[in-house]
Amino acid sequence: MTNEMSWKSRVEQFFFAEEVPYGLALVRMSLPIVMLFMIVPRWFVTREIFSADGSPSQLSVGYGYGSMFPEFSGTVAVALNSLLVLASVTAAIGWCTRPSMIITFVLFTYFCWLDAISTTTKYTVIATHVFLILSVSHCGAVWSVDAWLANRRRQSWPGMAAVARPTFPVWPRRLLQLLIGAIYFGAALTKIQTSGFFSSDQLQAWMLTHINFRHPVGEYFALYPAILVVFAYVVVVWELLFSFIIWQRTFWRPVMLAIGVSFHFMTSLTLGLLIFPATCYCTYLAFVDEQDVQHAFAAMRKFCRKTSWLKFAVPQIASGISASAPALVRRAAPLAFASLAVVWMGAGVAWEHHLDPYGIRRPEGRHQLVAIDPEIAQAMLAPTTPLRDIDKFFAIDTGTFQFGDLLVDRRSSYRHGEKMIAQCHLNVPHEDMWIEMQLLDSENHLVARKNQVAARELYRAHFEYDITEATEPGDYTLVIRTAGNEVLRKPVTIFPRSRSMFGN
Amino acid sequence: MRRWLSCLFIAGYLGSLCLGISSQALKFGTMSHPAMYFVIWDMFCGWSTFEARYHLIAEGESGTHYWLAPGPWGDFQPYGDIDRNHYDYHGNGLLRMAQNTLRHSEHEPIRRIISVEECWPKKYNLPDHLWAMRCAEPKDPISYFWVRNVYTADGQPLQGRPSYLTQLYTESIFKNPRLQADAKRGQQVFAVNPYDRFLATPGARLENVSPMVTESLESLPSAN
Repeated sequence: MTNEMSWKSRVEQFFFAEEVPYGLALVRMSLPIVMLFMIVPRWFVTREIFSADGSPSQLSVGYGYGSMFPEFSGTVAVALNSLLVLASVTAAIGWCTRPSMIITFVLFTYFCWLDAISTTTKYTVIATHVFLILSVSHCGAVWSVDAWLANRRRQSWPGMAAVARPTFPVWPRRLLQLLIGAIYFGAALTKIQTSGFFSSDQLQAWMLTHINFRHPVGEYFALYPAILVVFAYVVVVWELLFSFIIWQRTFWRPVMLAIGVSFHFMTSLTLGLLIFPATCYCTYLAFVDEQDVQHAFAAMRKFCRKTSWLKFAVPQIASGISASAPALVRRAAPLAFASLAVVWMGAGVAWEHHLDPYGIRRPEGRHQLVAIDPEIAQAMLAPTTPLRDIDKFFAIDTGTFQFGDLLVDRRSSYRHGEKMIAQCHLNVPHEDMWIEMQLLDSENHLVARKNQVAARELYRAHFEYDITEATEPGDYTLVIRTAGNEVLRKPVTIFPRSRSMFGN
Repeated sequence: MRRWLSCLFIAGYLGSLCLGISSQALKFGTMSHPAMYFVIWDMFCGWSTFEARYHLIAEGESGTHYWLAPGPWGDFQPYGDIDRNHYDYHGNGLLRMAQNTLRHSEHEPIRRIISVEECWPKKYNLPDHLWAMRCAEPKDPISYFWVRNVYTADGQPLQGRPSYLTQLYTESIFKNPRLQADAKRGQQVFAVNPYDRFLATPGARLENVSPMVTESLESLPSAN
């Protein structure tokens, strides 16, 4: 009985302990701003991708459910998208926070649903979850315009006395934390279930993909798949452990968060993702609690005391910010918000009308279709060229040491006594192939020949060749053939066994 | 009351997260409803070794071909430096993009709308200096063009084919003469399955069916 009550009280404490919602406020201030980097560019093409006057592609169509949500006219879509922009800003600054957050959640989810091709992606899903949780929380209670309007005096600033702050149950922040854990756990499951992930083939393919922003670092890493194998295991282990380690305020919490920051930073460099890492960084702010804020403010106060001009400037700024809002302003705020929303939507519609995205009101008339060069059109519509043999191969490498089915020491010179491993890196899908490896000397004489079957699911085929004294030192050529055709060549050099300093 | 609502919200929200995790782990119902997209965290569900682009072209009555995506009024690059139409892997929105372009532009009468898939091995995405580090042979990039779907000007499907990679994979299996002979033994001549009979019936509505499902089933005679 005692243990059961203790368990219940632990759960109650976990979800319903009271705290000042600093973490939620930080998430509220940052995430809408990050989302504006994808909302604003899409505002200019609202008519084309979000309205019945364009070509939306609802998420539900791909699932076989047809169009589940209404598609409004271009004008209405523009008005609603303009409202979304405004609500994101007002949510970030904490003005009429709950209505702003609810509007942001509803409209953001709606517009993402409407365009599964170029708007819906996993970071928008994460943002949708966060907006939902924030809309039922008290994220606007501190560090917000609402807090200023609520006439809460003397907020916590360096140099000012601490006063009673509003406290609320912690469960919205807990849900955000559990959401992050579920995301990483699910992502780890996906990676485990993906064939070719731990062999680095999937990571390599993603790093060579050009559908995101430029990522030259990823292209460089793609040349060294053995490193990617290490990254693959580290990422999956970290993602699986995240949900279980992150709760205790021990050494491991900052370590796990630091790994997360590094991981998402590397996805920017290697995969060209920009908004996704920024979204995740915003959600990490859910781990900031009262204790962290108190430590931060204490450190700030200490810094201000040591810096002479800050010692006088900061309290003055803080007292200006924390000064009470005039009563008239407080009473008029909701009406001002509603009025601004209407005016903003109207201005958005007017401006979009002026921009005329389709160009249908141009003096010279509507746009003409652009003709395709006849040669290009012929190439596109001609019967498909059969896949070349060389395009079934990614590369051929030689080395002596394998790690995780990958060559580690790629080189082209060998000594007697070493074993040369020739690795054919294949492009999947390919058919079952008969691959032949030939070693030719400098006069094109066949020295050695090996062959094997590369089944359709294989990413690599290996040939091993013992370099003995029977193979004369000199320059050789490794030739890979399939279906009787030469595909790739690679020069190799063989040197005599290195002499011992003790002779013989 | 507020406490009860909070508990209800917490239970419902955590229940949805657990549903997503268990569905993903057990591979059950992951595509059963579009709402599952919001609880399934499959951010890394597989990348192929071929890069793909999706082109939309129109064939006019004069025989001239025109670009339909991006529209002549300008382009929109959502995530990098390629246009929106190249992110439509399944082809669900290409027809609508094409019709939107035709609706808002001046053009001659259009005979057909064609979606073409352009593929090339990703190794050719390596910049030249990295190519030289990895490969001894010169870079000889090529694009493989594959006609995916053909529609009339008003959107009626005339031809639908799977993606180029699906075709490659299918060919890699069905190049087996024994397998081809076995497959022919079980191939139906008449539309026996209720679903096939429905699609083969004149007037069957395909508007709520994803275009990627569209096949030339109209050619199958009904068993009636």
